[in-house]
Amino acid sequence: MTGAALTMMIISLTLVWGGLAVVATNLIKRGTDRD
Amino acid sequence: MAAKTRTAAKRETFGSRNAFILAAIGSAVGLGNIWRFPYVAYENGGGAFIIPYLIALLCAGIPLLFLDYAIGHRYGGSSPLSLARVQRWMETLGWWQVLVCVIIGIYYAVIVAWSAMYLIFSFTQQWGDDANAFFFGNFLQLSDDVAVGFDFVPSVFWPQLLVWAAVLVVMLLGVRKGIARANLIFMPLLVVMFLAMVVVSLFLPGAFEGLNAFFTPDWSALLNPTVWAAAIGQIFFSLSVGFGIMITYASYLRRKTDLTGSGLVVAFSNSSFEILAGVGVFAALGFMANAAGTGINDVVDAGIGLAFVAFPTIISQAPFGAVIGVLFFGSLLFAGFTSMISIIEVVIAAVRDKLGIKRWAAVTFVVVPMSLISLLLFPTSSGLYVLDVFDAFVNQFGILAGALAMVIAVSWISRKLPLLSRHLTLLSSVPARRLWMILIGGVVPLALIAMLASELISKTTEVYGGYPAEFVAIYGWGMSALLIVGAIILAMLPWTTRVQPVFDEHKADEHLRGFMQGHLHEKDDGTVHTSSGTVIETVWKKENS
Repeated sequence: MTGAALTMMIISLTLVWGGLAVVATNLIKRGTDRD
Repeated sequence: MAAKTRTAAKRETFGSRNAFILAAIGSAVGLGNIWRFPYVAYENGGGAFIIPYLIALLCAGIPLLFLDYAIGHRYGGSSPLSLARVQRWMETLGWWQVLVCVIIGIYYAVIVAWSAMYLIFSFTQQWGDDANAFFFGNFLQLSDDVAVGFDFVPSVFWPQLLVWAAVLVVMLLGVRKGIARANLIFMPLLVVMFLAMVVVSLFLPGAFEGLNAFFTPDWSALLNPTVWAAAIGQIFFSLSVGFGIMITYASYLRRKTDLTGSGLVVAFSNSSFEILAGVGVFAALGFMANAAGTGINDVVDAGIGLAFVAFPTIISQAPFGAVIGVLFFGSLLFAGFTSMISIIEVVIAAVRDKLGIKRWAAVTFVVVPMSLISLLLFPTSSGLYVLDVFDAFVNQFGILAGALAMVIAVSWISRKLPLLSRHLTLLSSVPARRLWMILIGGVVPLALIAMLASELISKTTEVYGGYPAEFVAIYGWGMSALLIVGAIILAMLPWTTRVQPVFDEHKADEHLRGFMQGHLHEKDDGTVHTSSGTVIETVWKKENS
């Protein structure tokens, strides 16, 4: 893989999976409702 | 005499927030995530596509998802009932969304059935050396004559009948025991199987050439407006927004629910799955190109071609091909089935609200005729042609046009955005204030208008797919027009006396504040009571007393 492709793969995965981790943590910690 | 503003029959609920989130993810993660996203991303800038994709997610997809949640949760009904409660004339828009779901539901079943059959075929690689000839010739027995015929193909008919039987069982079991439980079983299975498929694909020879092709950024693509339109289109069609599913699911939520917090989890889960699908699919395509001694460009495909021609070819050539086949087609089967039940639930909820009938009656009333039409049209030697035209037209002139009409009606005509913004913000951990209103009232409708105009131009300047003009006129344009006429007629029918499309906005706000401040509580059975334990049935059943 070229450096550019590898970088974009890491950025893409980090942004969406990282985003998911952030919003899931927000819901667990700050969610206005509880399960 | 009190006018009942909620369904008189106790409305079902998901029971827990997590059950709702899982069901919403199950609906959003469908066939398009696996077989559409990788191709769209590759064709529109590769690695650079992540930029318009994320901007479209944040500026159009998530705001639209919040709008659906707000409408469904606040007005507490199916799509026609909720929209009728926004403004009476908007019931037509709700029925339009329901009829779109009828069309999608009847053809989705056949794709789920194909996936189930290919899951079985994977064990023996029944397609042999020529997956293309097997799929179109042996399996579908596709006729050269583009016209609706009734020469049934048993190898498609029986699995499709089984799919409908499974749908019937899930729907009869209800929201908690059927929809929520099905998602609780199938979604973890889908994630585990798909992750395993991605990992196995990464070890195939040539996998990294595939990833290289997929992620190499073409920065010049960012200057191309069609790339941005593709990003908005992908997000829009992938999130299950704008055609009643999220309105219906949100109406099954408890009153005190973190709407935007849950919505963000659903949206990012959907996108996370899509990126993962891109990795898995392109790793496998890299192997295919490597084995054939060609470039990725020669093997890349989307939709049916990717799933039922390219993947079987990969499975035949790859080490542990049967394992990849079971994992891939199992993922398609589960992703398709969980999306299909969400689509059918939109129709069932609408019929139930309109006629005020019990669930089993509504399920029978909806699933039996839909399955009959589906089984008449699609497991035939011409079924693929009808499916292709239905899919192309219902996506653009059903989902897209219907969503645009709803957004304009809610934001520009009824001017309910400030009220819905207050509803979302009051309940949720992430506020949806002025920025959300600007996006929904300005950016989203403009983007949808641009997409719709471009589709109108392309479909009117040449006959879609090279099919005979009269075939497209009937099953494309005719079907799209019938959706609108049908919606108008259905909206003219009277509501049952048990359910009335009237709504007291002021009282709804008052009660919401009560829930958030802890004065009011909702029990698991849906009854509402004060802190002192007094049951206030009138809160949700007789608001205009």
